[in-house]
Amino acid sequence: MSATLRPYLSAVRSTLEAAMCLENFSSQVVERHNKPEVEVRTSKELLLNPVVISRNEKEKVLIEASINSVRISISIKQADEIEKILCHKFMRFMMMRAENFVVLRRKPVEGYDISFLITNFHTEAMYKHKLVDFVIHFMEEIDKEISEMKLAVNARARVCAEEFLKRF
Amino acid sequence: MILLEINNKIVEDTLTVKIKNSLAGNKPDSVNVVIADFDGVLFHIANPDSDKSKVRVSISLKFYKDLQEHGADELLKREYGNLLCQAEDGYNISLVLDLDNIPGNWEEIVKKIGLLKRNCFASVFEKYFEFQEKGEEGHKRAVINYRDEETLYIEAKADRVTVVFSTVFRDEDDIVLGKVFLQELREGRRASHTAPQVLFSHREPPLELQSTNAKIGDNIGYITFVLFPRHTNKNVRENTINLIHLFRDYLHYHIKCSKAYIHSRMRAKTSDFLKVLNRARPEPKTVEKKTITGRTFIRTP
Repeated sequence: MSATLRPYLSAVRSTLEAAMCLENFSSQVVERHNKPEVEVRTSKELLLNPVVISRNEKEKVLIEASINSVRISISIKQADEIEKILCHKFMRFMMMRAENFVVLRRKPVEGYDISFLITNFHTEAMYKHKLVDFVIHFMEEIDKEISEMKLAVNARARVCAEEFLKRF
Repeated sequence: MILLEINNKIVEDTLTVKIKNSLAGNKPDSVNVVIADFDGVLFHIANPDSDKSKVRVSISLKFYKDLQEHGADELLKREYGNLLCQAEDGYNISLVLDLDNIPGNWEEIVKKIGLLKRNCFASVFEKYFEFQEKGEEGHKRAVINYRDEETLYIEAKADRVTVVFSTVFRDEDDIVLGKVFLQELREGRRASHTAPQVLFSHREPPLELQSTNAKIGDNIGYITFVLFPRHTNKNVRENTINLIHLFRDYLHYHIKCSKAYIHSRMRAKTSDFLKVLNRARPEPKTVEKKTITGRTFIRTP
């Protein structure tokens, strides 16, 4: 793990642990509604200050907390065109399977590549610390996977070109 | 599997089965197969006039007219000779095999028929290689619209032949992947000294095509091969044609393959992520417990 990655991830972890303090809270504006406040934003006093943790210009995490839900948006580094399409493809692939992922939001928050929405119902059904682990694991793995995929494409391209030209 | 086969395996197999069947003395049965190949080429294998003792192989190429201008007919006559017959309706060339009268070298002939598409292409390359060998200049550039919106340009100079492919990337991501592949091709010359020079331009046609109505667009790429006499001389000419006429298909095939590979990786990784997420769920506590005799054990509260 590189020197900047570790403090980055540990900052995200501590922030998430603090933000994961959720309780069941019915809407105080609409009767019989119980919606994630971070999404509906009906009353200002239920929202906490959003936190942005950034490793550099491109890699950052936005954590928005509220009384009954927390939204985590991740922006993944994309150094060049190919990483951009790989990242885009991968995120789209995952978001199409959002119902399996439970905590995954179907659309990312603007300016970010992927968002998770964790509500009090999730924290009641699952271990909080494991949920935090999942987010951290995701952040660790995603960069690795994208750069590996990029390498694989490049390696394939090289082999193809060489094989073709060797025949002449 | 890295290189594509230039022959058509299905055509060969179908014919081999027919011939073996007939050599074994069995009664010939009817056949009617339509086979698709690269570049929108269609093969049709059938019995002409429902005569089961004969097999007709027809090929349709959308751009056969372009090839005819460059002596495709003569080349096919040279290659296939008396196999050629009146072309079937809707097809460009037809060959007929007589199953009652199979020559001894039938395996060779079947191979040759499998190369029908390649041989159609070969004429135009041979013609321009010939020009180059003789040092004739000033011949009009050959333009072959081998697919909708995609064109092949061939031009002969005294010292070289340039072959330019224009290719359309239908998908946005293909452009990026295609660029990676072509970048490697451009640099691939280091791997082999005999390889031709490959140039690649995205969006705009190369200088020599600037005056023509070559298309300009974000999704169009132009690939130029510069073939020198060491590629076009009589000994290696066949090999060069084999390679170059399938280049476009080779490129697109590998772009598709990499996408498939990326997809399989994403699938694996996604299920990996799911596994990690599911670890967050506490295990169900209410497991049914059985006693040793098989009865359900229920703890009284």
